[in-house]
Amino acid sequence: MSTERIEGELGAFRDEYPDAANVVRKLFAVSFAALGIGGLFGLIQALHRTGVFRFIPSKDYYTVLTGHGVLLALVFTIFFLCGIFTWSIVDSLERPLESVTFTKTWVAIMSTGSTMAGVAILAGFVGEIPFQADVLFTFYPPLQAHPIFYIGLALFIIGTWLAGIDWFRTYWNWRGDNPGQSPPLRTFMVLMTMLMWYLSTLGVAVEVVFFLIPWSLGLIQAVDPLLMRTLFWYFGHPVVYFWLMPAYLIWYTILPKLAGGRLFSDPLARIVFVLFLVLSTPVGFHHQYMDPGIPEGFKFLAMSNTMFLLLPSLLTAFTVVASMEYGARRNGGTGYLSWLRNLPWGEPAFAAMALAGLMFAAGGFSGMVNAGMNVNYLVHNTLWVPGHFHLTVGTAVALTFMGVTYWLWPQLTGKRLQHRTLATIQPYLWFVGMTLMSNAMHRGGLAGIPRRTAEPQYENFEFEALFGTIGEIRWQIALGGILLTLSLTLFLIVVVGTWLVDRSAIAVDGDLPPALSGPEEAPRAINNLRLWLVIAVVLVALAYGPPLYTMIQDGLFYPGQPPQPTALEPLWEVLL
Amino acid sequence: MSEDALERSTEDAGSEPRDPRTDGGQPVQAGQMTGDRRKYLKYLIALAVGIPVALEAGTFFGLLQGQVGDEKGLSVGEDLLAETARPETVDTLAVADGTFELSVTVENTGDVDYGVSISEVKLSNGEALSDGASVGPIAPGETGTLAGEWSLPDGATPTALVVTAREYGDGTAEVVAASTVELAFDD
Repeated sequence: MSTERIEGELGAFRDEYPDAANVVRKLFAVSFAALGIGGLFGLIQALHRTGVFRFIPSKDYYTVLTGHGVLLALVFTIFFLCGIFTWSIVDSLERPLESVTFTKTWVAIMSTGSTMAGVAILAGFVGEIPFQADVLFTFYPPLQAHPIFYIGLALFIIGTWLAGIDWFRTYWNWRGDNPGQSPPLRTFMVLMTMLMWYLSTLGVAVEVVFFLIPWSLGLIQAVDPLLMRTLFWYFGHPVVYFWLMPAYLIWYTILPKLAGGRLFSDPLARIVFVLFLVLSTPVGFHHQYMDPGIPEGFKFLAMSNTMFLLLPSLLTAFTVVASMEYGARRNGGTGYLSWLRNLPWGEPAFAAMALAGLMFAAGGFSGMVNAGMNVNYLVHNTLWVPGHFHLTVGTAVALTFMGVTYWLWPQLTGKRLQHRTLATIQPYLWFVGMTLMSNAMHRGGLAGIPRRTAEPQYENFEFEALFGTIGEIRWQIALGGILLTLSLTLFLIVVVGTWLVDRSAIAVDGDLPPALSGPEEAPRAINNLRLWLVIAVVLVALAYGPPLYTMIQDGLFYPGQPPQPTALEPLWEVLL
Repeated sequence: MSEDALERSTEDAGSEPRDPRTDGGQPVQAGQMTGDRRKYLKYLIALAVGIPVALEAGTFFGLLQGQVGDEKGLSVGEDLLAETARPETVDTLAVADGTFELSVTVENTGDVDYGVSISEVKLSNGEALSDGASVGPIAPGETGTLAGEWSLPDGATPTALVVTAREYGDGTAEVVAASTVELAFDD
């Protein structure tokens, strides 16, 4: 049965671009499968390390932890990103996939890579299988995984590169047909995100292909831990923005519509994405404040760049809230804050995105603590850090993705959203669960409780909470984890229930209204992708060139970097 | 989105608000909801906003109190009996391996002999340990140490000390302060 078309409305995306809809559905399916398994692992972790309910040996905790991190931070987020970007490109450029075969090829490569990495991780549960990958999400040495884990990761990254080529090719063909036109906002956002991704994944690609795979195969005997950590974090912070930028795309282009209004400013949205491209890569050293061997000055530079990154986030807060207010006032809202009541809080897509944005603001504040060189020392490697990123990727990104799914899933499947009551409850349940868990994690971090361990309690030592008790903090984490799992279950019920139901006549409103201030008001340079990429590369070279040079002076594979920053004089000698 | 669609949505955007739903489900704007649904949504929002606000406010004021307010429990470096003029400084205050350990340096800055005693340690399980510990009489200008160790029942932590300070003169002992000092150990 085909989707009923309503006079004056577009049909479902599925009917207009069936091949693209099919690809997006498959990408989302992988994403949600990873979300379900990764979420279950999260619950096991929360119950285990708080001591509330333990049913796995502590040795297996690290398999669970790695699975939780990789499945959620890489597979769930990036497969979803590929889905939403494919939809964005096709829908905004109004062009079908250039080559279905090519698109299916990169989807297959990403899926193969994810499966290899996933199998390597899950094999850690089975003693009879002679490989494992208990290396956590960051996977840098000295922890070592089986080669298939690293090879799987490499394939996964290559798949994302090909996806980007697919989208760029569609854009270039569109530009040939539409000379002189600004790319649609969604397309611009996709392209800027992918430029950032190409630049930042160079680090992890070099690390995995030239060091970790040969090391795990026994072709080289040792690697330099500092160099590996540096190459990882060169990628490790931009990947945060790779998760976030699709959420920003959704907040800028879909959320205003759901609020009943329009985006406040298209040029401002483009500026935000330009800033992300330029600033999000030369900041990785802020994850390495505690690492010896990196000159303090370059750590300070990373901190400065990180603080500059607050600018696009604050611009977003202003623009998105202004757009929501515009919608609320069109719906009859008045007063300074009373207009908030005129937002569609009963619409799960809107509620999820709005609550995600609210929690992202809290995550931004704890992120400032992480970014500050001196304050970071207080919370480094404590429970504070997962408390922070469960607000950002764990809510700002994840809940936004869930929210947009409620809006987009019917368009992709041509089916009416099922279990609306569950869908309505789900974002609020996630919000409460995450508040409990993240709040307690932050407090636990302030008390010095370490992260990434199955046994956080030292012998003959009592953690001291700044207020309340450690026992209460643990229970709060466990309760939050349970509520989050319940919320996740509701989400999956809605998604699977909608997918399985028979198609019926539905009204589809997939239009995205243009911004109040359109792209014609932006300076032409905004759309100059080459210019921004060159600036980004120069900033990266300045931030990373000298420290990387010093790290490799004593040999690429030398594992014993002295525990102090190496002098930079030789570099100047080379330059002069 | 096609140019036509763009034009339509531009025009639409200036007219009456459009229902942002995609699938023709239940109404979503607050003003359009049925009574029951609206009521449940209000409860849901009240809980979803109320719990986080209460939690974060509690955290904020808890941290604030920890920084600037009076702490509930005694800690190392503090005065055991703030109401006396003489300093009784806590040097050790710890629970480890089922033992509660306490030591206090008492400095007699007065002009008569002085002593401090602990007569009882109250526990989290409602019981009390009556083994005492004391120091004194300490001569004027001298310093003494009150030290004690108490074995704790399984699962119990000390919650308070019953403390008495006395001045000694002409063969008599006068109680100058008697207080129950609260402790704050995690269960």
